[in-house]
Amino acid sequence: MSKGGMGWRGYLFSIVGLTCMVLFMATSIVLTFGMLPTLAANLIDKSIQKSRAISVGMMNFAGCMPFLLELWLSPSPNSIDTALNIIIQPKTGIIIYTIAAAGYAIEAAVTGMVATVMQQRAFGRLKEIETRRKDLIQRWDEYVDGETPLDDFGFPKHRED
Amino acid sequence: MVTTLDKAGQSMIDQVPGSVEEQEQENSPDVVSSQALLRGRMVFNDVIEIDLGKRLPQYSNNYVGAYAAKSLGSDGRDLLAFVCEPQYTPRNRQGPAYAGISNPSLLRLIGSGIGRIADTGVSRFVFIYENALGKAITDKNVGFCGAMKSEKVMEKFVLPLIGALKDLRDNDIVHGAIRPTNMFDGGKDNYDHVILGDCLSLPPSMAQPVLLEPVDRAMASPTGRGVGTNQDDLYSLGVSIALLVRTRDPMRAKSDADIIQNKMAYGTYATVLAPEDHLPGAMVELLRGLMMDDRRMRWTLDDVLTWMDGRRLSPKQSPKKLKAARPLPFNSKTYTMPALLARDIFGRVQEAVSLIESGELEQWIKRSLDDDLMLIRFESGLRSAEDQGRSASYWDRLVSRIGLCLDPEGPIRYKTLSLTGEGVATALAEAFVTKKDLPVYAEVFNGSLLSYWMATLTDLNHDMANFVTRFDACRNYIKQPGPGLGLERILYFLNADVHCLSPIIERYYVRTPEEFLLAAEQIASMSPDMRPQKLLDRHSMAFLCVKDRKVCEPFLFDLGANESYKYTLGTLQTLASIQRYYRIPMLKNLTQWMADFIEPVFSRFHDAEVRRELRRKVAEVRDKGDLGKLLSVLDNAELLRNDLLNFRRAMREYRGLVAEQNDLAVRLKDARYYGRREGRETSVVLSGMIATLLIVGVIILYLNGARIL
Repeated sequence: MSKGGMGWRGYLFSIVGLTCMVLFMATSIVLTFGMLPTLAANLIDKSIQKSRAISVGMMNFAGCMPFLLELWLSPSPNSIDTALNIIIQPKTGIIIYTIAAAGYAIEAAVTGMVATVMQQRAFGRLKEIETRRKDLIQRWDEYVDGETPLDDFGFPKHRED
Repeated sequence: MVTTLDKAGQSMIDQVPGSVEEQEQENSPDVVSSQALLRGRMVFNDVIEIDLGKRLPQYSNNYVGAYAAKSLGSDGRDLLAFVCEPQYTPRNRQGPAYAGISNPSLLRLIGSGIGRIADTGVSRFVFIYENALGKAITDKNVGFCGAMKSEKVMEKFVLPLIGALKDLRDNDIVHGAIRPTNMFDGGKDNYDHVILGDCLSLPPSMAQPVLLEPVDRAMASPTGRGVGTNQDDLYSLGVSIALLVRTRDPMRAKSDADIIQNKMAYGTYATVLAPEDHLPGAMVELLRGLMMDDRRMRWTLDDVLTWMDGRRLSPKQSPKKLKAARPLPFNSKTYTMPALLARDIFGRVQEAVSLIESGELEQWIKRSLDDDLMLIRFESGLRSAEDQGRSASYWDRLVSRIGLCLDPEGPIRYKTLSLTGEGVATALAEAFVTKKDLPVYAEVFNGSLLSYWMATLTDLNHDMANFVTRFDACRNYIKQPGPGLGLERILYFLNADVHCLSPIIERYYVRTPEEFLLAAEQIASMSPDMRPQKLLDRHSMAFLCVKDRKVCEPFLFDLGANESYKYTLGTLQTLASIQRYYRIPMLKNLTQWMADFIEPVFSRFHDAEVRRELRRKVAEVRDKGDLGKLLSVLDNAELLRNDLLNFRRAMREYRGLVAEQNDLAVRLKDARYYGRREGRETSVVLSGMIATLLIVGVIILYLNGARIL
């Protein structure tokens, strides 16, 4: 496999995808229009996990779901006309993008909240550790830190007594 | 004395040519300084008071003083006390056997044990006798001429004293102090009740002038003569009888060296009795039998008893002394008798080495003495001296062996020492107390001199089995320098009579582990700043190991350790063992002291809580006087093991905490990013859940006919 190339799997996936898009052209039109916020979020999210894109994407897809059902359950199901009819309506855009925005908001709020809680817990843990270290030294003497070479009985090797 | 050599190796024989009488007037500085401590009132067993201000010179000797004593009981009778000196080991174990003898010619022993001066705390071993000695027969041993009739001496002296010697022999006791100055009239006129004076307060024969000792013992230093045998008592009795009957002293104003030389050359009989003393045949027989210089030919007590029964025994002819056909010149003198040469080469070590190494001596032995055995001994002596190389002391080693080669039955001489095999013990005790010559003793036990001596006498058909066992053990002890071993161990191993010479405990005159513990209790009752830093030193450990192996030997490793906690625990283990084995009830002061003394042991526990708990338990048993209980608090291997395991666990926990702390600190360096990843993950999950709910809800609504457009 050449470096930077798609490889046979990429090609296969592209062919299958394009074939599906052609076969389900109406659905593809609705999804392409509806999932634009996810595409934008994916471009903005520089993290490896792409968690923001995933959050937005899942909510975005949930927002698209009623319109897909509308397409599939219309009198002329899965027709391009119906698809175009759906996407040109303002209501469609408002609903889909609002729900996608909610996904973005959830991601931003939950991430911030969790991070804050975790920071507080970390600072608390640091204090706990410091206290426990002091307790250990007080109870077991300073050699408990393992910095001094000890003999088989746990006493410093250089100690006279 | 005669055979003591000074540091430069010069014989004092040459330097102090005065008579024994003159020497007897002087007490050694050690004795004087030791006796200076004897002041005031000494009490023995709370029943007898010894007045140390009333020294009785007529009963005292050069080494031990006799004092007036009084019973504190209702009878208030006058008694006689011999207060022993620490450097001259008294024969304390012989006391009970001696006290059991009932013989009118032996001074009755009332009791023996420790006498204490309450004011100074000084303790000494004392022998309390009945005050029935009366006047001494004479106040001088050498030069004394009794000029008594033989019949009278036979009746008044020989008969009762032979009876006394028989009783002593039957009780396995050697008197070792039979001399005219130690014979008394018992307070009766006309010598109707002759009594022998004290013999227990000194090592045997120590106070005997050389005239009254057989040649081989006379040449040894006073403390180094050893126990001897009843035959030595008979010899002393023979000489004493001769002094009583003779009219002239043939050795008048002669030095000890001259007396010994004369005895060697002409025999004791001719040395003590002048030719003009014409004695009855029976007396001559007796004296010749008793004063025979060859101990194998000397009369035994049974021979004397047989003779007294009327059966005449002619003394056997003494074997001809070995004499050289050609005299050997040495140090401006000529020698024909190897024994005399053996004695004198010690005063001139350098010249002696020249004589030996030039081959002159070997030629003399080969050609003039014609003694093959001596030649073998000579060659073996040369090899033995080279055992430790030709480094320092080689000359001394060489001369000592050649001395034994020339006079195998003489004393063992080395540098400043001159001892019999048995006398090594008592002489070593004196050396320890006076702190003299200890390195010389160490050399003797370390080297092969004693082996050479034993091999030499074994070749001459002496029974040396006992010596071989003892000196082999000594050699093992000296090779191990640890505490409880070394020269101190030898001291107590060879001397069953010697008390513990540890400077810490010496003044309590401790003779058994039980007494040791009781003395420790007394030390513990002092104020803390008066107590010693350590209770057990090399002396105490060696003493306890010899007296009772099980109380100290198992703990020697701990006692010899550098770590103070091991030493303190070893000390407590030893003391607790003594208390347990000897069933000593309560030692409150000692337990309290030990409770403080064991402080280093606490630091052996890592856990502060364990230490706190141990201290609490120690405080509980501190006043109970039971060392075993105190020990059981600390000597807990399980507790120590658990402590170590928990310590290692705590170390692991500490390491984990440090790692976690470092990790958190690194991650919190930029707090903006901390927790964001987890937050995003949470948001993904939450978004997913909401999206799922929405999708499911929309599907349900659509399936129920709802429409969004």
